[in-house]
Amino acid sequence: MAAVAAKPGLPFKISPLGAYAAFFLVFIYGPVLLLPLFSFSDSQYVALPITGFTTQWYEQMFQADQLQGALFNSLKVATVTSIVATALAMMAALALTRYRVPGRSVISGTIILPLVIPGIILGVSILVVMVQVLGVTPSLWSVGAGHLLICTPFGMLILISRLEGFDRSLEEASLDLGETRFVTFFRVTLPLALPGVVASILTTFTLSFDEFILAFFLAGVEPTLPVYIWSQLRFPQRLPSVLALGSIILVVSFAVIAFAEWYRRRDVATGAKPV
Amino acid sequence: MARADYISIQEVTKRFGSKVTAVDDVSLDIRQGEFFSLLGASGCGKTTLLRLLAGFEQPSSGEIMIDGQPLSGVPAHQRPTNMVFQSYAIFPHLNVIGNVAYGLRKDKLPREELRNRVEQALHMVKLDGLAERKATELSGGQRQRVALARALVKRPKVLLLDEPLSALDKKLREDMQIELRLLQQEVGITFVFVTHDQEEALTMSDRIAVMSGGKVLQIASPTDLYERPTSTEVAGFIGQMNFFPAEVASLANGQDMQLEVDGVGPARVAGEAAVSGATHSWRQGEAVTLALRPERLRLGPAAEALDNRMTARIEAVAYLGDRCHVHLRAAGLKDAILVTAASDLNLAQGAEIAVGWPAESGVLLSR
Repeated sequence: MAAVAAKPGLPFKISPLGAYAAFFLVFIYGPVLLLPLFSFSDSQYVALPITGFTTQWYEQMFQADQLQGALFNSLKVATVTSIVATALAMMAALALTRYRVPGRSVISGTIILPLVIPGIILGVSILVVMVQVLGVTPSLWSVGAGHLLICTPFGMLILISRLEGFDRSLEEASLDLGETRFVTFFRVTLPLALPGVVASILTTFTLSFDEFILAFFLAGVEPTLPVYIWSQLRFPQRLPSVLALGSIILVVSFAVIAFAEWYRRRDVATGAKPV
Repeated sequence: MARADYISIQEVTKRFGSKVTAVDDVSLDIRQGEFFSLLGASGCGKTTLLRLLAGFEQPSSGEIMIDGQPLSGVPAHQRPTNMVFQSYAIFPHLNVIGNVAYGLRKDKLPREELRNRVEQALHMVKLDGLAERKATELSGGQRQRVALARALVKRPKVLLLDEPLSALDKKLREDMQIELRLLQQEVGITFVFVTHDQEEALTMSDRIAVMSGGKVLQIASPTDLYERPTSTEVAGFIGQMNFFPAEVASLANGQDMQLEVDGVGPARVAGEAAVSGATHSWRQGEAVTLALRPERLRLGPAAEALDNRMTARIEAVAYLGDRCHVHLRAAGLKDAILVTAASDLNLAQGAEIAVGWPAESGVLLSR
């Protein structure tokens, strides 16, 4: 820690590691924290010093119809994507943790792959296949399909860690007591994996809600919120209300992810520990 | 009439991959209402055999029958068996009553009967009044009782128990051994009990199958297993045993058999002790192992009148309260001899002492 062994004259001693950590935090979170700060500034231009406090940008934001349409689009896509992605992720996670699947690492690698492919390449290639090969018009559906590609691996990783965390003999006990595998999933596996399921839904929701590149390529005439915000940056007079919206998204995203993590770690399922 | 082959395991082999053979050509029959133990060190295949009975694994070859019904292809949830898991596998999201009634939901019993069945089961394992307790609030002993009740409430033909006592502390474990045995006699269900603890197996079982390397070495009652093991492996695994390399000097004709014990000299073994249990007929000059339990050896004056005697030097004495373990060295023997003696004997370290044993306490094993 930085503040050990204070020298006389200096309030604390600065260690190189502590300084690095402090710099790191400022670098990461400083710009993000400026967003809410400027959203309350009464100047139209983003510049220091801040001359006065106002909430007019927030009021302006709530009157913008297009903005609300974009927000609604994003919510629709994120809701459907997070539920479908979590369902698919659950199936993959079950297959990989509960059965002896041949080529296990190849399968999980293939599912995770979209996470490491640059979004722009993914976006362009999906657009080309969709428009040129399949002849489908870009819409919110295509955005959802694209988001599914990057949300499913996230959900799978969350659910795998949850499914590996509880005693497998719990499921065997259910089979032993006369329930089929199908019923066992709903009576034992799902209740015990519930924190993971909730965490997966919330995480993938946020992921889809914030995603820009795929949505930019695939949204067509129905922009999602990030795409709409990007389009507004050309108009300086609209920038402050974008800052206001950005601040709200920041707070909500943070709250959702924090809740998801808290819920995932909350240990309702570690009753029986293998001996 | 209790069937002798209520559970019939016929030439069952289980391989995992191409290298591991967990159960290797095992055939055995278990009687109806029997308390049968599978005993062996970890990795001997006993748990795999139990899981084959439960239906969690399918045999690579061979057939298992319960009450005349072949079980190949019958999934775990349709088998007339229930299991008490080593970890107990209590459902943490349910309370005690939810756990015990878990397996009854499918049976669609009337509310009243369901209640009675669950209460009966809880009473049987002495958990009356804990029905509403959460699974996460139970002690180790209580969890084990819930696991038992949950399995017994299904009224299985066979109850499978996978080292259910290994997680309990010593005192509770010993109490549970007796209680489990009484419970088994009360309900009359066939128990198949897996353990690595030979004392536990001897205390509780009607019969024991000793396993090693996926094979069954010997199936016998606790007394026979202890008194008349048929191999050095079983003899060494159950209790303590002194082994002496020897040679058959002259064959028994209803009389005692003469041995020539390496480094000691001639010794006599009762003809009966030498043949019983063994399917082997001894040849003159055959290399054998003479096995003697530490408590069957006598020291000092008590050794005088016995069939076999020798002299040895007292190397160490370990005092155990009610008895003591005496380590002896004899000229010509590589290993120390272990003798269990009364602790009131006056044993001086380094002193020479007479050791003797009656002809009928020797066990002859092929080498």
